[in-house]
Amino acid sequence: MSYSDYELVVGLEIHAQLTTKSKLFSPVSTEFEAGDNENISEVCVGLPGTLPVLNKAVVDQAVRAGIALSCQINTRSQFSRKQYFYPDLSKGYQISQFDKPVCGEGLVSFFVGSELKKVRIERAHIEEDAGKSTHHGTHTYINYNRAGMPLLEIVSAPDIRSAKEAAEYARTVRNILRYQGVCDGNLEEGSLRCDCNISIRKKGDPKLGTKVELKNINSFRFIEKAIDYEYQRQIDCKESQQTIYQETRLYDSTKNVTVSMRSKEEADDYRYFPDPDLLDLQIEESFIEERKKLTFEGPVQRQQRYMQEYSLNQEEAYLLTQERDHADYFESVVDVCKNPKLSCNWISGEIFRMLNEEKVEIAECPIKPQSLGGLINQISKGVISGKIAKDVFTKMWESGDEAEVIIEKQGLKQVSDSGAIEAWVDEVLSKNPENVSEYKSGKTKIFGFFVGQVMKLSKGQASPDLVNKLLKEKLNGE
Amino acid sequence: MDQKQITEISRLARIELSAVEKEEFSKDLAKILEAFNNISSVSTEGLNPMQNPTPNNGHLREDVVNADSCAKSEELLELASERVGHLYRVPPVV
Repeated sequence: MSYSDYELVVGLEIHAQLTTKSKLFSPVSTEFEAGDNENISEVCVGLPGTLPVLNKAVVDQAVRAGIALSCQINTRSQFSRKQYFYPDLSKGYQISQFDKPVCGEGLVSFFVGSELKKVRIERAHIEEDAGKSTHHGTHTYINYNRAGMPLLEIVSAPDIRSAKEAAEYARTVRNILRYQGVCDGNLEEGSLRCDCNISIRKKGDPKLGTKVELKNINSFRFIEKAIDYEYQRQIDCKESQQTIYQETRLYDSTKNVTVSMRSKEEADDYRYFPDPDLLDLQIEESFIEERKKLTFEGPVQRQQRYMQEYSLNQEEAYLLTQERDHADYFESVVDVCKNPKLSCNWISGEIFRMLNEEKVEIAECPIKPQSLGGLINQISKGVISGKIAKDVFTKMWESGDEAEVIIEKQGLKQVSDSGAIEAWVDEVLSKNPENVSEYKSGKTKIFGFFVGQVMKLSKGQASPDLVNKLLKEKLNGE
Repeated sequence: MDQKQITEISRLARIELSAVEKEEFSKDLAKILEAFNNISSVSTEGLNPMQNPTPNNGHLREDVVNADSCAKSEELLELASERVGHLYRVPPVV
């Protein structure tokens, strides 16, 4: 058999840390930049006699995330204890949700190339994070700052068929959550973590193969690489008649390999049962309806809308919708200038380049949408050429002045007076008689040279259309 | 309750048992299980499981940091049997 006879089957579990001020079950800060064990309480370290009290904002954010992921919101859900024995979890169990999660089935759509892909969500549930262990040979050190942080675990169906789809799905979920402001999506700080369940099967086989879990991959690029590696490894196993074990593997990004962490034989028996310390979580229908009204349009919907409403191509729409702030900025610019195409070019070109260079967020951008719209209007009206507009843009960025003011002050208005342009054209032609005869003998390619000379003479202010027209008349007509 | 089950339970509970203890506990636990199995003789047809006698929603807390209501980090660390600076120190886990 060859590689192409196999099909890759992937499901993702994404742990998203919600953006509440305090932890899931105790009034302790969720601040990331804190000293060792600075943000802990009796509840976080699991002292006997402590009781969990659920944070209202966690419920709110979980419901909004669920709505944005098109999930069914369960009006009654339940917290369960997941038992495992590890010092980063001092109670001996993690409070999670098991058979009654807050969010049921949902659907995420996104583009992979030009194809619209849909991945089903099986569930999304609330759970607490564990502490962080660091291993120092003879001992392990524990920091419980992260213990009790509110997480939403989003479990996809095994609908993903390529490493690229997996990475794009993860990116999309991140963007959806960021759009709603319920997760900052910071992979480096661990506020978004990804586990991949990977198996292979022969094409057309309805049965799923033995699944291998890849844990805690912290970049989208690594998701893609790790899955690609694992896909090849599993096919090689099959082809050489070896068994694929159900196990947890870790991805080593420096060597680009996956290594076995623990096998099923040592797998934990979590012995889930309802947590008697917490009552069922009941959510009123009216609350869900209210949250639906507060849910922002998602990134992929916006991308599709921009393609239809504004006739942008897929790539352009994708670039503008990666962040809600960027998309909002774009829409405000279009409101002013009514020119989506030029707005898109200026934002994904100049604005993004400057934000990147100056390392500022779009909220702090010195050129407000109103002003960029104003600049684009000056171009559309033919007051300045696109080339001059770049200089005006730089001056706007530096001074914060409006385009109109800068154009006026610096006398940058495009010259559309044919008399003035004709004088420049005549000057250029008379100064370059050799080039003129070259052109007339058939070397028409040097036409650009004349245009360049006239523009130079006009300090870039001559209307390029008029320059072209007059030059052609003079060169061809005589 | 056979030896295999006893071994598995002791592994999960991280309790080491001798062969004699395993024998002894398998008898005791079998009796306990038998007693609990009496519950299954009650007919529960048409009844929903009740996890809690209170039908009400649980109490929800406002999302406010209130460090004053909690023990301080230092007080909690003092209770640890071993610590290194502000970290808890435990036996190696890898």
